[in-house]
Amino acid sequence: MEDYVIIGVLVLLVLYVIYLYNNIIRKNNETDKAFGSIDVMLKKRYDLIPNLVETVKQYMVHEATVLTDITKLRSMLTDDLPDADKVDIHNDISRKLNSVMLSVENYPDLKASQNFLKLQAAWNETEEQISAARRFYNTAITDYNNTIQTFPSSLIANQLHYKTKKVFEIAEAERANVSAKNLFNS
Amino acid sequence: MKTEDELRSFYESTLKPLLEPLEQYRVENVGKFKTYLYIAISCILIIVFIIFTRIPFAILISCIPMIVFGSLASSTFTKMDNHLKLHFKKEILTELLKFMFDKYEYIPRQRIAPAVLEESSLFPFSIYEVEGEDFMRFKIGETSIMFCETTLSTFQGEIKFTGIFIDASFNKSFTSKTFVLSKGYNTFFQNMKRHIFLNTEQVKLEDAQFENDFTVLSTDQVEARYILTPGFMQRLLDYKNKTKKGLAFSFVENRLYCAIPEFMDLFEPALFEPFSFEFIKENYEPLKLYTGLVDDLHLNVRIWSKQ
Repeated sequence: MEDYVIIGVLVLLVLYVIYLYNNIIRKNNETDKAFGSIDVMLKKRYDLIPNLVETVKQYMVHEATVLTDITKLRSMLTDDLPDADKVDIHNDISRKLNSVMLSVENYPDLKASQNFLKLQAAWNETEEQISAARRFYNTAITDYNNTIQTFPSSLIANQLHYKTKKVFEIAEAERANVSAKNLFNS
Repeated sequence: MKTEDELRSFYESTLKPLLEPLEQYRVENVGKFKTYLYIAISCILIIVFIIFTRIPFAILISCIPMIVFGSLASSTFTKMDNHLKLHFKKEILTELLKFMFDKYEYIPRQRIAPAVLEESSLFPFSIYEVEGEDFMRFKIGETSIMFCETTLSTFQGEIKFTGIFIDASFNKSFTSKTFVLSKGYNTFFQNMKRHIFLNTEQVKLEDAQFENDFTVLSTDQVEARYILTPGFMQRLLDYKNKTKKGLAFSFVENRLYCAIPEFMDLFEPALFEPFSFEFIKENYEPLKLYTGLVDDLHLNVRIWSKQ
């Protein structure tokens, strides 16, 4: 009888370890999936940049340097670039283009252009989708970090050499810009 | 939206003259109804007395006036109810809607189409019967919105939902299905049904108060967050606090659906209360609240691709 109890407890223990292991793997995969979502959204924005730059540069004489910078930064985005560098370049593009968008007020002809209005709407949409993807990524990362740092999952995570991952943080410059007009606050 | 002062001056100038004949009719018929009812009740008391004294045939004789006056009271009540309902909805409510909105459509005896309810996926049970009235449709800015008093029952006749169902166009495009449900709106098994049949997952959001008040389920984690921005979450919370009801939202096929439980029969004439300004205000407030969803949730903000 005692043997059965011991076997039963051991089986339950093994099942529990399998559950913990699978849970870590699932959460790790979830972070990859979340990063993939950001990548998709960034690609969407990447495709939008040439049209936007072409449209605004006909009107925005004073922002010519910024627009040239944006085009240069875009050309630096290649597939073989590490993810961290890609994200940095995208953040740089985003900052520069947001400053361009805020200068639109000084160009009434541009503001009246139907083509620009459509592109601006698409830009806003993409920015918000990127923000949504980042939030999903951060939730997935927090969930994953909590799992691998709490007992008893931490024992398995240590054995498998799983490390904590960093959440996306908004750059200081972007934080300062948020209150500029709340222009894109939905 | 009109202010209370504007509503009061509209009541004095337009509604009051229209309400006067209705009020006269109401007072007259309530008086008749009460007289018949009191006589019928007196007859019942006489019958009870006769039963105790055991006088033969007297029971039969005293039953006749009770039946006559009881029937008169009932028919007076029904006639008055129908007359007031018809004139209130046709004249008063229509004038009130005209005062509040530029573009509207009002069909008093129309229910919401069952296909729309199905599309919303807000009711995770098989709907056998859809009843409803006071169907209203508006165009507020760029947003089209409609709502209707709705009662849903199952095959066994069990009423599963009574309240207001709202359908509005949403200002962002999306392909997923997202549900924002007040805690306790659905049972655990109903949520499980959603997970299985609609392939939804629970969405964990950053706003602690929002997480405390709502359960969010979606078929797409990123799109759910695209819809539920921090600002929009706060606005949903504010709207919930404003209605003081355990409401539920769904975002499906670029539309926003909302179910608000409500046990009061709205937009009906008050048979035993005068047609005063307060009565008009009681009808104005729900109209303002339900159509106010457009402004409260900023649905007219069109800065995205969807125009």
